[in-house]
Amino acid sequence: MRKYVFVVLFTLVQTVVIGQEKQRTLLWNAGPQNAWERDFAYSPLVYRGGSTGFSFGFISASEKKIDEVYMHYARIPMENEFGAGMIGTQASIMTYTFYKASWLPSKWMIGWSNNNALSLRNFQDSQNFNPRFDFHTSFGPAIRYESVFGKNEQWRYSFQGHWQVIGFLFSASYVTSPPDAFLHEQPTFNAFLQSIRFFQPFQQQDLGMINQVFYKLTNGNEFGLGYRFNFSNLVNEQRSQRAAGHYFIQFNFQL
Amino acid sequence: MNKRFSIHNWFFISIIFILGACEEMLTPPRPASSPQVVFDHLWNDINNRYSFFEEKQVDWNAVREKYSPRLFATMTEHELFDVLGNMLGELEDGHVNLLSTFDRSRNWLWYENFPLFYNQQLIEQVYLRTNFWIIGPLQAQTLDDDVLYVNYRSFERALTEQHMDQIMFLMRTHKGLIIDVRSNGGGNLQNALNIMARFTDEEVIYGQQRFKSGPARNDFTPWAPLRITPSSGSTYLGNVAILTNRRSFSTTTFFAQMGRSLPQVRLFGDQTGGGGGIPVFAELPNGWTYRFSGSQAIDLEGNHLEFGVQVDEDLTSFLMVRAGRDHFIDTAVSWLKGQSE
Repeated sequence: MRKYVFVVLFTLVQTVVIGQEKQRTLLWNAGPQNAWERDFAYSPLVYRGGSTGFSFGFISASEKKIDEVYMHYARIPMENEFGAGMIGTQASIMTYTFYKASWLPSKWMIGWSNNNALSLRNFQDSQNFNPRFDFHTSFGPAIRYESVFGKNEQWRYSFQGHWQVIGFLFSASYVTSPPDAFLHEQPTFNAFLQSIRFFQPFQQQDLGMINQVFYKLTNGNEFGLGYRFNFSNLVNEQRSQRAAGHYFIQFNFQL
Repeated sequence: MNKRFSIHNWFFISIIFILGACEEMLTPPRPASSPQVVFDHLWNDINNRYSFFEEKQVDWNAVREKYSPRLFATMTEHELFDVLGNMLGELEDGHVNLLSTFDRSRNWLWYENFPLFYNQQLIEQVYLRTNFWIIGPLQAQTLDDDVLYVNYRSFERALTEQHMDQIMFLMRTHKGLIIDVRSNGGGNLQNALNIMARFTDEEVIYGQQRFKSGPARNDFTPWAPLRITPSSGSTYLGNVAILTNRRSFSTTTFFAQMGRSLPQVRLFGDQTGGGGGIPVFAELPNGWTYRFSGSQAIDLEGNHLEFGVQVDEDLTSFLMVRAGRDHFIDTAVSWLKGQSE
């Protein structure tokens, strides 16, 4: 019993200490998301559409370092120029870590990012092997700019961009929805390992940015407008490309 | 609002919109869709991903040489459709089609030149009559006191566990079962498995399957067994007759092969039409869609299901035909009655 009391007290103390050192923020945003996708295994045509995208995230910021996590989801009905339909589901968990560097101007930070992105493509006219999919987890450099302005510095503009250069890729197969290794009998874990490909620089691309303006309320919370863009070009058994632009209203809640 | 605030405000909001719509700016241009481009796209994709070139001894390069000269820049879409459709027809595969808004190309030689020995009106008048059961997609009737006749028109119509529970219930008072899948063009393989799972109490391997995995002719995944897993519901382990003809295609071919793998099941009629490759769907630069076989399936002796499943009792002789009767059904009833005696 004493052990549990100690653990609880220790955790509380640490939380207070950390809370003093770092500013923690929960964020939620939503807004229209436009996207296009092209999966050469099915079609050379571009499918485009729009729907609503949602993100939920967490930011931990100290004087020298910022950690961010964004979870994003959108389910977007798309069409090609001939009216054929496809439902695209885009989900991702994106993390950023930024550091202040002494050699950088004060408004700039540099760091790295990790994108874990899933794309599902359900083609209306394809009766078999739906959905086709890609999942990649990748890492790369990231950069951030932030400027505070206004009479009471209640306005804040920030821009951050990332470029994924290395990682892993897991995709639909040459003709089917499951990767080839899942099409014959073997342990699932082995099939999974055999299905993973390297996300190689200049062969696969994933890059994006978040561009946003916030207004700070008197209680420290913020609301603002933003635009998030991401582009992927993935080459595995087949090539797939997609881009999405998400305009959103965001609320930041200080913890 | 002071000037400094206003300038920054508008500057940064402007940046959002200037940098916005990147997805629009990066949208790829529409691909060319001239007759030659469309032809090349189709020929190349079939060349890379079609699964039966060697088994059918199709020289796809020769096919290109044959059809490419028929293209010309000012041809109408109907003319282009005919060239592409005829080119695909060279594959003689019921799972290969070109689909546009105005037509669907096909090669149905796998059944068109064969008698089907199937007369729906005769079956309804003589065998199903008016008081048959309609159990989901199945039509069922008792024949000759204790044989249950079940007619399944298309595996595209969903067959649930509840439907099969009802068939199992009926089999308590019947001594034999006929499943008529003549002219059933296929559909969802799971429906076939839902039936066969009731006819075994142990796992049965009925064939093997592999998928195209690359552009070379022999780029395939390793062979993987095709299995019937017994149902957790009630089962019937008595005799079953399956009736097939040349128009029993695709999933119906798999269904027939499942039946061949079970000792108490006997196939009557004519061999199935084949369709052993699972169709892959794709789209051309001009918006037409097409499909083609992207896999292979073989029976336990290594015979390709693409060329059909042979029956245990061939009933294709016209000498067996009797006016006003369906000799496939009558032969199956006789076999079942003989087995139950």
